[in-house]
Amino acid sequence: MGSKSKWNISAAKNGNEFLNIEGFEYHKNKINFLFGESGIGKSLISKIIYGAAAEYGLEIKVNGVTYEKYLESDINKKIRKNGFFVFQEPSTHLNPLEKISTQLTEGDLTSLRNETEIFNEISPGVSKTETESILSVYPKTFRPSGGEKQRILLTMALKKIKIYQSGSEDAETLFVFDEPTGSLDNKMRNAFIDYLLITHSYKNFSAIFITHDYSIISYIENRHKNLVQNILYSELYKAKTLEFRKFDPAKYLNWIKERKNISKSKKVGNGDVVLQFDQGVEIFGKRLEFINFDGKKDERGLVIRAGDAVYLKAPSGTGKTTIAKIIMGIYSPEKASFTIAGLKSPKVNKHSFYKNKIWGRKAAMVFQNADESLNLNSKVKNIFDGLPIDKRDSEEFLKKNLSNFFDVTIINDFSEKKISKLSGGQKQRLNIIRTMVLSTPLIILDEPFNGLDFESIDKVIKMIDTLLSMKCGILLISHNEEIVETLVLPSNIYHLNSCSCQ
Amino acid sequence: MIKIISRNKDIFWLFNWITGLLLVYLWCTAYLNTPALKNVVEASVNSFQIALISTGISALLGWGFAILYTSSQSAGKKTLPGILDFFVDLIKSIPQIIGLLIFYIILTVLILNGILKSSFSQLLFMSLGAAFFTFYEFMSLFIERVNYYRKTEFFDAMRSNGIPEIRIVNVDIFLKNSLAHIVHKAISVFGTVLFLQCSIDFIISVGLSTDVSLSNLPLSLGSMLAKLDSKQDILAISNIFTNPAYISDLLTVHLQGISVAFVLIFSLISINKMTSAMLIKKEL
Amino acid sequence: MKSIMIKNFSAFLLVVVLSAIFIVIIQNQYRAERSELLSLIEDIIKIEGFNLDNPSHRVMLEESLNYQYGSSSYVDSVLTKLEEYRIKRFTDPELMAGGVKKGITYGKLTNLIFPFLKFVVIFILSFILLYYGVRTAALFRFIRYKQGRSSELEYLIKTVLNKNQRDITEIFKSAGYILLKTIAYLLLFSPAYVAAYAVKTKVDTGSFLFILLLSVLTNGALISYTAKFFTMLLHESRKGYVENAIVKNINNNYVFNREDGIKLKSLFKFSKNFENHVLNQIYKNALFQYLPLLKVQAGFLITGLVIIEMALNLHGLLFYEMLKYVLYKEYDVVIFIIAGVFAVVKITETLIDLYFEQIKLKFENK
Repeated sequence: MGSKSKWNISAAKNGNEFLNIEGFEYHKNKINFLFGESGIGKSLISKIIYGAAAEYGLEIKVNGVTYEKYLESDINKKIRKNGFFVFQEPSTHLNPLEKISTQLTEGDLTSLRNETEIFNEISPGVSKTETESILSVYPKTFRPSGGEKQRILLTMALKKIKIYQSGSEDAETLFVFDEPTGSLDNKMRNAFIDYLLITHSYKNFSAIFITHDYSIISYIENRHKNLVQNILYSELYKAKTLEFRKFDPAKYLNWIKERKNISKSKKVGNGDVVLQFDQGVEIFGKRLEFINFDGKKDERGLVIRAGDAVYLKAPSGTGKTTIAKIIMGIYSPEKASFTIAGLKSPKVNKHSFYKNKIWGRKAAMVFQNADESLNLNSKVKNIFDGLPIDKRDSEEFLKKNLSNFFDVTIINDFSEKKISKLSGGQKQRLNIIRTMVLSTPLIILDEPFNGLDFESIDKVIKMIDTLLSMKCGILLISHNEEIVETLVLPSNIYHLNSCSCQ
Repeated sequence: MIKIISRNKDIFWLFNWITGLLLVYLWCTAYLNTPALKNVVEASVNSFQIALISTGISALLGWGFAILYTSSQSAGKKTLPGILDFFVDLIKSIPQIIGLLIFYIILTVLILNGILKSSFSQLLFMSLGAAFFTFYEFMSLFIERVNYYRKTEFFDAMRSNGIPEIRIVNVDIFLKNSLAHIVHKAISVFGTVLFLQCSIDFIISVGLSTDVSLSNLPLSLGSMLAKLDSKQDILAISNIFTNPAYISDLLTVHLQGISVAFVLIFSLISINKMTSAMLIKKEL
Repeated sequence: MKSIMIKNFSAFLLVVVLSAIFIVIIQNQYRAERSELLSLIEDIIKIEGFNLDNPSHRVMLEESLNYQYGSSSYVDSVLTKLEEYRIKRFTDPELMAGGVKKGITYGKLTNLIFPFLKFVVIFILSFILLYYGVRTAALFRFIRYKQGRSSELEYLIKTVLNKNQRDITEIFKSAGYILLKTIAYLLLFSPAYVAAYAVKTKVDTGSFLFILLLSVLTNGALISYTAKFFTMLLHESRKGYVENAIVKNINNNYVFNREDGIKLKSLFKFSKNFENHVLNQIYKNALFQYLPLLKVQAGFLITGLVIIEMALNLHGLLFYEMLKYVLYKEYDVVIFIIAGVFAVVKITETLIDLYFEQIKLKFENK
């Protein structure tokens, strides 16, 4: 029990090797949490080991043998027979032309019919009738929601675990969970972790759990201390080559403790109001309300002052990003009233108002997905092209910030790099720098810690501090509650509530 | 070079196409009389020229309308995109060949009235006709590309940072992220125009050969095929069903019609192969 | 559904109104031309015993007119019109012996009914045939692709170059396959008129079946849309739900007629179903993406059919008739035919839109 499984893996496309790791490991019959910034290769390595990378047309070698041979090996056949892979993007991993109930009962999942129960267990607050209604539909963009889709994929994996556990033998197996909690709020995330850890304790199985959510460590330490012997933490990082190492949970626990102490010393800001968002927003048939830190509906609505950070939190799918997009004039709500740096949002000609007065001038927004927000075919040095700023100033700014927030020794070489070649954390920091240069009175940061490793999170926090010192008002949207709560004062935390307009 | 050609099927087929055409030319210089050879070359050059100019005009029209469409969309206006949708839909519903026929009727009137005199102006008008019935292919592509980036965070992330929308569309979307798509579409439209233009020339030369005849029009592969001697050459192909050895006659005695048909069909095959290979290689 | 009907119907209505306007304008022009032509000469051509084709009669007439009006511009105009009239009796259908009225007439419309119906029937049948052919050929190509079959040419070169195990039978088999494939490519990409002329002396090119086959096989119809559908299959096969289906261990083997593979019989059925196989999910999704493209396929097919009907130069085919009317400059009839074809296109598009919308609604949980 608990023996190591070591892997040397390489992958190339058209003869160009782009992944090579020696000594990647996971412990058998344990839950192996794997951290590391996005784009570093965690998913691909796991897919290769599982045997799910055959369709990518890559030249892969696993422990010295070709992928074709590896797929034919006993060990991989068993992994695929007994295991499961939960893919990262729930919205694209469900067949849009098959009912969810069918997708939960096909292939290997035919033999057990406990999907409703499992889905219910990992969905606290969702009734059985609601579950049945969710399972009876065809998956579409907004229905089921992102969180529900994620739980559907998790249900598939958990069903397969139950099937494996119902067998008598201790066969070779592997369950891979690739970012399984990215679309879940903390309540749902915790329910899933509870279910996984408790199920694992009945009959152990091997699992790789890829995540960026370090707050899981705190949750497990607090809630499942008795099960920590079943858990291992490790991370992938890029030095000169791609490396694998153990991750000490104490490193994170100490860091968060320290952050909490820093936050206690923060003072209430008294700068000018850069955003005044009144109560009573109505959009897509929903009414959204801002609830302040003491749990009351704040009549003033949402207020952000220059030099202050405000955290808007809510369960996934409530409408946090929707609020951000309303502020930025991307969505047109049925009803909303707000003022950005003294300019009241108009009822008509909104587009020219935003184009001429707001975008990049009074407000700017960093979207959550750096891969989508940046032009990957541009070079780092062109990151500011097209922005409403002076070109010479921007070059200076870029140089200064690249040296501040990137571990790069030769700035000029780095500037010439194509953005697509950067790591996930580098892209996210570049994404923030692009908005930083504008130093607009209001800056919205949507999920700024998405896909980041521990070091990158620390650097992004420094960037936020810099923005605050530049007297920018910041609206933070994140599901990473534990970290974000250390960045703002309790009085600057707003909960977003949603209810139907009818 | 050989490595690039063997690894990239699209380049392989471009190479094949050019080599194929050169081989046909060399073969023709050996077996075809000078006036006929001159005609074959002129017809090929004219057809490719019309297809090329037409593709260019088509791309420009498509781009222009797409910019109009997407900028109205961005500004939240619905009327102009609605009207454009309606009319493009209308043009799409007219079979391209009928549309071209109408253009040729107008062309005849313009020639007879002495308005279009030079062969280049006629060539340009023919290209314009084909472009009018293919520009929507480009327009749809451009709009599709913009909409693709609108669905992701790309467009909103850029404009909310103050980057002008016209720049996002033209530089960031079209230039930096859609060149492969545009080249692919251009090759495909080139093939469509080549096919349509040859077909309409053939039809007109065969079906309207009276005083309304457009025999004064620039020679093309289609009108070459419609010539009596070329038609005889094509008719002779069926002889190989009963006498396979007749193939040598086809490649020497009946060379005019056979080479014209081959240039046309081989070009269509190569173009199709290139576009298919690009689709797979670039995952368009 | 309602919006589809409104959109298509309004487009159709616009074309009908525009066509009607053009027809009225053209017919008025006919009348104006006719009255302009006859206004000066109507009385002369009615003179009993006067034969316009007889040169001596024409000379006598000219002398009489000169005598009556002197050598004036009026006489010149009359003589010019008479000459114009004389020539038009050979070219203008209305003035030809036993000629019919120029422009749209009841008789002409009745004569167009059969060619029109024939066109519609060929279109419907070729549309169905093409729909079947495209799916079958694309699926076959996709399965071969998944089987990892390399190009036959590469195989042939390798076999020829392999000095140790040069198998002559294999070389011939492979060369034969390449030859057949080349011929097939030449046919599939060939414009219909080239293919038709190439077999004209051996086959009845005017037969219904020949036109049907020509419309499906040539002009690049089958090959282009097969390539499009194949690309869609390929695109779908790379999607996440396929990965998810594979990890559920749904059959993913592409060998023909193996228990966990592809049943050849399923491939050739009109309504295709690959039960318990990943291909089923890929195919159904690709087909769903392809459905709206059927409108483009229909337009392409009609263009092909128009080319065939015009190029084959056979009486009784709608577009041969249309060319004839272009030749006679009876543009009102031409516009009428075009409006008819437009109606066929619009009806097809509406039906495809409605069918697609119905399916879409189901998958959108509505």
